[in-house]
Amino acid sequence: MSTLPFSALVLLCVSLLLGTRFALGWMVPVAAARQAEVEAREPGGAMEVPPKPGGLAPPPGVGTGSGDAALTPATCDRMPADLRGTCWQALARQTAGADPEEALRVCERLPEGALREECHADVAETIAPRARARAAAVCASIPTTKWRGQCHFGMGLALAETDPEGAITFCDSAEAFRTFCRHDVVGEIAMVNLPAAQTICAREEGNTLTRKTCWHGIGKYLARRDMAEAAGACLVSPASWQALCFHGLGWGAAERNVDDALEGCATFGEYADNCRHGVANQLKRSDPAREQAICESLTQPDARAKCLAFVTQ
Amino acid sequence: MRRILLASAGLVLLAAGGLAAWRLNGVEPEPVVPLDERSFEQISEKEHEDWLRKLGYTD
Repeated sequence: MSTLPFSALVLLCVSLLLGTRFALGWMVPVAAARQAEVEAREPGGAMEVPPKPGGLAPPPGVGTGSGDAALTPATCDRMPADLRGTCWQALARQTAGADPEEALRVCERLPEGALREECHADVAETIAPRARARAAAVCASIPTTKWRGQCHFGMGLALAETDPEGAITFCDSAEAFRTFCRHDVVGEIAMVNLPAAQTICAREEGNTLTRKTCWHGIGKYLARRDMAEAAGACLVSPASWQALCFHGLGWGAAERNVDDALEGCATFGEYADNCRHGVANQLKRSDPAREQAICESLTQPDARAKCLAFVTQ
Repeated sequence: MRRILLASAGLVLLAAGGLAAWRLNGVEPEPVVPLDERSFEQISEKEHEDWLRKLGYTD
């Protein structure tokens, strides 16, 4: 009898160990699957946002609604089901300029959800220069934070050329895209009215990230047109943000031609590394080997370390 | 002998319990709201900076 508790104890331990092993075997794949699901929901997957305006490109054959063959409701009705939604969006954009209310009714043909909200945002962006109050009301009526933010971002871009101060105020309502919005709107403003862009950035509004990316936007957008022009703008920005401005310059120039960008960067003296850093970052997706090589060529240890750290991210 | 077995069994159970708790810790992750679905205030500075850098908005 005295051995029974021993046997029972050993049996209990073995049972618990085996039970735990098989329970873990079942639970861990579940955890891995859930983690994969969470990661899949993070931005950075199939669709990068921002910059949104433009959104997902329409599939072949649908057109953009601007400059393509005119769409009609009948055209959209005849579309295969998987293209019909994009067709209604394009039709709404096409209609918005002449008849905003009809464009909004076209959006209602879309099922409730992201496509309909994107459609409303497109209409608002289209009508913003001529009917700002109506556009703002359309944006405010969008229920989700994401598309309401995108809508205000689009309004900011739409007004950048004609009303810089008005445009930048819409970025305050761009939610998650607020900093992106200020960067891009200021960049667009710089292309047509550099003093206005510099005035906005010089106010040093918002947190550190917002303030520094403001000057980055000026460098990037102007470099898409002309590196020397961008460098001139960067050199008159506050000393503490000049390096950031040259990083944006490098990125913007690399979008056009990497070799020309690197050649230009070499002429920027103490900011050559910042410029090359921007070129390297811009290559992350298209040419990671060259990105790494450029990072390794940076002469400032801090810049090189930061650049290389991003290579492996 | 009996005490040694009892102590060993206790240690094994403790280790198994600890392992199970550690592995199961990740089974129910907090639901993650994608960055672009959050308001500006719901994004930490670190998240924001990483996102901006990834898309070429800062160094």
